[in-house]
Amino acid sequence: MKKLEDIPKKNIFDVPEGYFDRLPEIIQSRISVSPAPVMIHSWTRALRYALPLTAFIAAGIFWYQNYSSSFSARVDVESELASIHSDQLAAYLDDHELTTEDLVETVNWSSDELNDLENAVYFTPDVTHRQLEEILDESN
Amino acid sequence: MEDKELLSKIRNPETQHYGFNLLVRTYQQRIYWHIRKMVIDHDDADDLTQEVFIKIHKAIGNFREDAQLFTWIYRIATNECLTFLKKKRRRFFLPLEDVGKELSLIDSSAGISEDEIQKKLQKALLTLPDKQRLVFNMKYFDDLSYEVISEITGTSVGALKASYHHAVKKIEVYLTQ
Repeated sequence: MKKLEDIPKKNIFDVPEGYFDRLPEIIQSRISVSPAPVMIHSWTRALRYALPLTAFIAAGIFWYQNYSSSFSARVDVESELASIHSDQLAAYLDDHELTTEDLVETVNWSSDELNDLENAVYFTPDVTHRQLEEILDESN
Repeated sequence: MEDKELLSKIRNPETQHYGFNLLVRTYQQRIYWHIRKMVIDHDDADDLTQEVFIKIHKAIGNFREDAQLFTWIYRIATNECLTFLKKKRRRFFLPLEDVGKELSLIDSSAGISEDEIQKKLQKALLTLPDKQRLVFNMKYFDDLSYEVISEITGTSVGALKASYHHAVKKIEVYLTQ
């Protein structure tokens, strides 16, 4: 078997004459067209990640403070009202001539609340026409 | 010039171009021949060598000196080679082991000396998988240590030794045919 160690090491490939003299200039001309490399220092690399993260955290804190202050404001009003005695509330309402319609308009009714209210005002029990006549006769 | 000195010249904005020119002149032949032995054709080797140095120019700002400059440059060149060979085979729907064009280049002696046994050796090398051929070239022709080749390729020293010895056996069988 032919041994590799018996074969002399040779470079059998040729290059065009003057190739290695010209190659650095060719590369430099290609590099001149493309932008210069940006020397990135370790602290600028850290900033690249730290800045967006800091901005995100700051935005989160701002949003949370806004949210919790408006929430606590709502809670404060409700707890304030809850602390006022019903008699005091009734007296206030009498003094200020507020009608029921005025009060109802200030409330944000949900559809369930409206349905419940409608049922309470207009609910008719499951009675027959005859039974209803008897009830009306009795009341007269 | 030492690598440290080269890098400091490149990192200084006033001497950046001069420093990079020096780097090219220092490493151009080693990189070119490393690539040429893999791709065989001069024009392909020329294109790839230029691409390697352009990539070095773009990335040298990020070079953290946790590896030697030489092994970092060699790694870029190695990856360019392997990517090129993979793309070439895919483009022409060739199986990975198809080396018809390279064999014909060797037979035609275009840019290759007439030594028959050397041509036969090159043909034998072309029967090896690209990565194994790469390792063989770095060990046999460039005389790099297994430790350096390990840094360049990211392969363990043990695996490299096994790969090289298998390559030698395959080549010797081919040369005997």
